[in-house]
Amino acid sequence: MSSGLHSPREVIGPTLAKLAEQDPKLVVLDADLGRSTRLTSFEERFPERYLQMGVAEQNALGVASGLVYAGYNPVFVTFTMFSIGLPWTQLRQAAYAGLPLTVIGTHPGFDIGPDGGTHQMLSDLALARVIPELVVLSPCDSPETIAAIRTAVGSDRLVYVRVGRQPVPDLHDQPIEFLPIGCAELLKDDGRDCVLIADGSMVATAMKVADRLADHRFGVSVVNIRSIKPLDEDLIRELAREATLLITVENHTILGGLGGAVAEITAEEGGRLARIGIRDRFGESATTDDLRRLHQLDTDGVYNSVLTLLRQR
Amino acid sequence: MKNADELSLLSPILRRQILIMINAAGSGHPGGSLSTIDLLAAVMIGRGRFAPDQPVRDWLVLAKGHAAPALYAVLANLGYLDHDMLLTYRHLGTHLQGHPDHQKFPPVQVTTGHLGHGLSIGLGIALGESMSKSGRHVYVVLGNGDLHEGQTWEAVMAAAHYKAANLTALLDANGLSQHGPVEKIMNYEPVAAKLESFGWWVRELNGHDYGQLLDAIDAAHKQLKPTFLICRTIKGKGVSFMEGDPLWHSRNLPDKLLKEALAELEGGT
Repeated sequence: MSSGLHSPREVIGPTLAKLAEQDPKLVVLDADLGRSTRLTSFEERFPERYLQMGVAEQNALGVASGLVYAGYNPVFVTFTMFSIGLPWTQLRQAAYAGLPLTVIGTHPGFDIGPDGGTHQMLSDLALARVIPELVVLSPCDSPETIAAIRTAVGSDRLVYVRVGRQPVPDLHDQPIEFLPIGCAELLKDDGRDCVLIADGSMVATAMKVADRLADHRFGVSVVNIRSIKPLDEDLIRELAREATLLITVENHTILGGLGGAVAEITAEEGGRLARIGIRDRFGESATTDDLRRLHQLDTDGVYNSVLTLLRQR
Repeated sequence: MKNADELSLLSPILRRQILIMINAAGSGHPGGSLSTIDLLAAVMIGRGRFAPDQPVRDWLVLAKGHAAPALYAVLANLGYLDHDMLLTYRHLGTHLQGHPDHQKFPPVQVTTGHLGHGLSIGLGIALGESMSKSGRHVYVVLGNGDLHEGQTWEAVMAAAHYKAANLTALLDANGLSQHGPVEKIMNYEPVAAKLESFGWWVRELNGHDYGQLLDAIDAAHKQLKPTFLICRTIKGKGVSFMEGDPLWHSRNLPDKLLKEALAELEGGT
């Protein structure tokens, strides 16, 4: 693990530009947020393949769909509120039509803190994972985000990649592979008193929490789920049988996202599960750090919640 | 390519096929299929390159996907499917879904159906073909409901911005929505002035007059910006008991009424 913190969104433009060097059909669609989604380097390198669609996301997703029919490999990039939430029907229709394109959603969960509850997308994973055929990836750091984008663009599938703004430590060394899609990573395998299953920026938090719990002689493992859909059901079933307690940790509502997906499996398998995340409420304006503290999603908050759950055994 | 006289002779045959399909399915959208059929025939049989033997094909996006029977009738005429297959429309396991589905029936070029989506998809195809310098033209056939959806106006704005000259939209302006006259449901007039103000080349014409349709398509091809043909049509055109009656937007056509309608169409339109 490197000591510095990096915002995964920083890799979006450079990764797409690198892919575009190899793929003449790769085009990027922006909805007037390219500075915030870090597309500028792509725009400078490939201006003719950078399609500015303005603040009109429904049309942007429709145009991306049309570009697939014309033989192109489109990537639509904007805040996840506007790439998944706003044009959900267009996304659903693209999935129905079997169109391979990549949708990147940035600023998920509380990552857009000061803009307030209007813009904090807390339910994108829930909205996305109910659409058949749609692949939902939630990488945990910058190297994995590069891998997720490369996998999505080269996959011949409709893929949503959730990319964080919150700086996180790099948990991987470059380059890493993201295949097969749906294969989770047992990032820390230190016992089965409790297994923390996390996605995105919460994986780094879960790792810190696991380290601290080791001091209390709890054997805690950490799963970096990476793909919300397809979900690594085999691993979760195995862990549900082996572990005393599974705990999901997400920067998202506990309804229908990672927690919901894992709950569906543990309900069938019979394991004990707790969900840590945003508890069915909207956010408000504040820094991301303050919101995480308020919702007990910072390291201390998650640590205290997990410790309480472990002591309830 | 067929001329206006040839298309006029073909039109009652296509209309009969539409009605037979809807009768066999027990449901469907006869009114809007009959108002659209001449637009589709003019584009796909009259002028555009859509036949199976064409080395390079143009694109047809049926934004008003509920008029699928009209598209299937034209595809049958072009040789992509036979009469027996038409009778499977809307039945379990069919290639001919209630709304056009490319994956289930590849001669349908684009999967459509949700009103408002079609023009954006057509624009995306047009931008792609333009980048590829393929020379392929994109036609999008829209209904009244498409103009009620905000996404269509996003696409109208974007197509003008990108000067998508290889994109031609045809509006089946039949004047009737499902629940009543368009002007009462949600008036979009004066639509020609609106579209012109967005930067489109616009023509209004009689959407059942093949001469006017073919001339307008020819003229549209010469423009350096996106083109919009506002085709004034009659919902249920060709069947007197359906014409102008919003009840025939979505309805089964029982055997007795089918017989009456077919008899009327035997006499020509």
